[in-house]
Amino acid sequence: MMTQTIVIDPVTRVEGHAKITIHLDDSGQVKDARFHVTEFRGFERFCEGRPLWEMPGLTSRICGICPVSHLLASAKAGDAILAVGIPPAAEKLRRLMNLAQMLQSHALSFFHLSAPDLLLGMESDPAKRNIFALIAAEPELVRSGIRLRQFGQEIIEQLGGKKIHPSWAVPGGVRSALSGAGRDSILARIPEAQATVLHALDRFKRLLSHVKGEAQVFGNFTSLFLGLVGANGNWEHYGGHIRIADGAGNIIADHLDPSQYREFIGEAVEPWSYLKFPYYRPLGYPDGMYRVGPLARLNICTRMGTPLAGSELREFREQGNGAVNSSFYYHYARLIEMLASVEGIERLLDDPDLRSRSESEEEPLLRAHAGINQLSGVGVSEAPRGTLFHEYHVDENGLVKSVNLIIATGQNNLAMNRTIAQIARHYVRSPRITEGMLNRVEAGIRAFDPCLSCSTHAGGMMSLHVILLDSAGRVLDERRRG
Amino acid sequence: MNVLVIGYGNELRGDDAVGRHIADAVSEWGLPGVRCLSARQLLPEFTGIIASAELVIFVDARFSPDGEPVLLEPVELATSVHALGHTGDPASLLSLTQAIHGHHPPAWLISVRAHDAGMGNPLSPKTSMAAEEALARIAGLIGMTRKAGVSGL
Amino acid sequence: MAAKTLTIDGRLVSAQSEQTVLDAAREAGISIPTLCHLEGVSEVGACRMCLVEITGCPKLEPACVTRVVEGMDVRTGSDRLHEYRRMIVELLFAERNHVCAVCVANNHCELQDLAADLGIDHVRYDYLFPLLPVDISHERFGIDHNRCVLCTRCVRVCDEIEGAHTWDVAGRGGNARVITDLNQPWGTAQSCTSCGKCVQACPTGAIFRQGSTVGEMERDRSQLEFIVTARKKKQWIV
Repeated sequence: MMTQTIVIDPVTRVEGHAKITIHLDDSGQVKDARFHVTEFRGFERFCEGRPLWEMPGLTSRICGICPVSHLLASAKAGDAILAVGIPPAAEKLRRLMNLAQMLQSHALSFFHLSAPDLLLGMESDPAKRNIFALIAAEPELVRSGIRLRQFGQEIIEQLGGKKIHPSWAVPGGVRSALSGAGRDSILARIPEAQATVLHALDRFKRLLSHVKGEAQVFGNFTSLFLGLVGANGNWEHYGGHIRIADGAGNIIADHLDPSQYREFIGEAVEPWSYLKFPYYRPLGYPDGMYRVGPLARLNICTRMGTPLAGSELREFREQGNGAVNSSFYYHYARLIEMLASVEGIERLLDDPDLRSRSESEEEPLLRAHAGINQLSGVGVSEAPRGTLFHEYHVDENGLVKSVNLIIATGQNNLAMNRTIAQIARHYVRSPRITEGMLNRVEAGIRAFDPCLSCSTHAGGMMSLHVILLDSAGRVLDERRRG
Repeated sequence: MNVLVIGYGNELRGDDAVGRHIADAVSEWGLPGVRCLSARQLLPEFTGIIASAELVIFVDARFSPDGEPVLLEPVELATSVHALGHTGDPASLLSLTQAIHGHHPPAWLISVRAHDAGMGNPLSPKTSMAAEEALARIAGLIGMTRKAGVSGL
Repeated sequence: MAAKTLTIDGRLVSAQSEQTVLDAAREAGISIPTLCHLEGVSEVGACRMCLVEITGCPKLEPACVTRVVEGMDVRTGSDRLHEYRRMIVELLFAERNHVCAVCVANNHCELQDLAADLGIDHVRYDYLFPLLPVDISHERFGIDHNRCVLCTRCVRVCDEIEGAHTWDVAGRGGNARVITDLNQPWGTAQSCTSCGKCVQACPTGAIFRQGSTVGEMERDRSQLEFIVTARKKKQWIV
């Protein structure tokens, strides 16, 4: 076996790319596909030696795409180390921010990144299958999508302020409440946000019968699904416990304590990627492959917990048998989660616990104060892309000794490789990479909406680099895009 | 006259944030009609303020093994977009502005060569020097636009 | 006490004979940047931010420890002084690891303010990146040596106002550090009364209240002045 030297380029935002290799067997059939992450960021080491209280501010700066997700998981890990229950207003405000984050992230994923594929057709010329062409064809749809994203951003800013939001959530609670004016301004925009999501859902559902072919091969396989559910099994994004369901929709593990994740999640490593490969321990590696994110959350939950999203969930489940297995339906799941987020935001704003401060009223209790009561803590929340774990170990004074992060894209790593292999198997007809295949591989990856900016320097900007290899590892073809 | 300066990058990543340092420095000049935005990355919602500007100057870090410390180039409309990312580049953001608002202002990209993106590091001395040059270029661009604005009245 | 008349930046200023140039200038509404100076405690002239030019004097003098003299001609803001001040602040940034973006004192920091006032947007010197510890062994407070500028305000408030003298400076040159008691973890320093005066005095994010998160560390220096005024003048002015 020959030794390979991997040269790690100073990969940056500007140069970040998703390198994919497709491996053929002796008969020229697709055997395997790999999504490579050839760079490691070393963020964990940067945190070592810092006081615990700085961690939310530090970790939320890992990623410009989902700072709120890291902020909340980090604050929750801090809560665990302080061993406190946080004030109810603080928990609800954190929930509000997480829903806003979910909404704005999904809105971008759907309206900007996926809608051109879906609404303009996968066969259309890639030069004409983008957001610009979509604006020309459906200007109002795109404008409303941008407004929806702004709505989510505005909530985040109302809560955290433009300047401090990277450290708004802190171990023990949050730093400030929602102002009365802020609440009113959010409430006023709910009807439009809801109409935008309902319209997009309607458009998507009318497309469903036309995209059955894609759905059949876009990562359509059984796997486990993992995520948080609420105490009653409802869709959850912030608290609750971990539930795992299989590809037939059977709950195979429930009421798992997220802080004990090491008992049920293993992390495998492969020489060709710096991103780890989490798997469900009882089934081993790689059989313990599981998916996280919108599709998983909809597959594991008993109910959505809100009326409109609830009836959409029932309709969604008709796409599967027990569980919806095609990764293509991540898009569909994202739309339903947007609806649940809008409904959830509206409900939270009416919650008396959240009673906003006004000039005359005193602020609600927002922060529990405590010292170091545990030497380690795990914080788990649902990021737009899936379950996010932060585990910290501290010394008796609260200086961080070690950090472990498990990110959504890592957990979807195995399923993404499997999806690419399945798509390639269906579309690779010759030892060449065709335009049609490249389109599908790109769209297949996009279903997962991967983000690597927390584990690499590539700040979310990814271009595509696909390499086709024969059984001896010789390069047959190579294509770049983006 | 209405100029928008957008500097972007990650402030925890050394030279990656040089664009933000520059946008902050321009902001301190306090020039009337000049608006500065310091952001982690380019986002589609910037299209609104871009559309209302008469000139946009993007300032970014450039990681390349060689090249000029400071490059100034016009931003052309993009013909394609990055397929997988949640962030934009100046060209596609400008195109998005054009597509949504039906017009776009002239735009320049100033890219400053970056040398060190280590966690928590400050700007490297070389990039700091280049930042000074970039500021001079920006002053020139703003000055030219102002003159053009006056003569156009 | 005889009054002295001197010129500061071309203006005639009168001052008490025991006053420093810094006091005289401030009373006349002329601002001179400072860092180690703190109202209520003794002057050490350590940071050199307040250097001024005095006609007939070959070297620059720190305004905080220079007494007024009859007929003195002082300039507080020449290009040369500006360049030296800039250099001092840049060297302070280069000497330790100030990561403002995630610092507890972000936007409430005197070092940051000085840099902004002097128009510093980059540092011309190589950063030293020393490996420095954070000590949060004290129950209520913490010190991050990465952000310490060795102004010794903590040492002086602790000694002169609280009378505990928990803080001191150990080591020389680049190895100098503020220490508690016999260079032991703050939490084990028995002389510390946990009064928090050092927390109020610190100009940067070096000394902070435990549990502070980014940008959350604001100080109230008027508390220190209140105590000093009460003690010296027997006036309890809030």
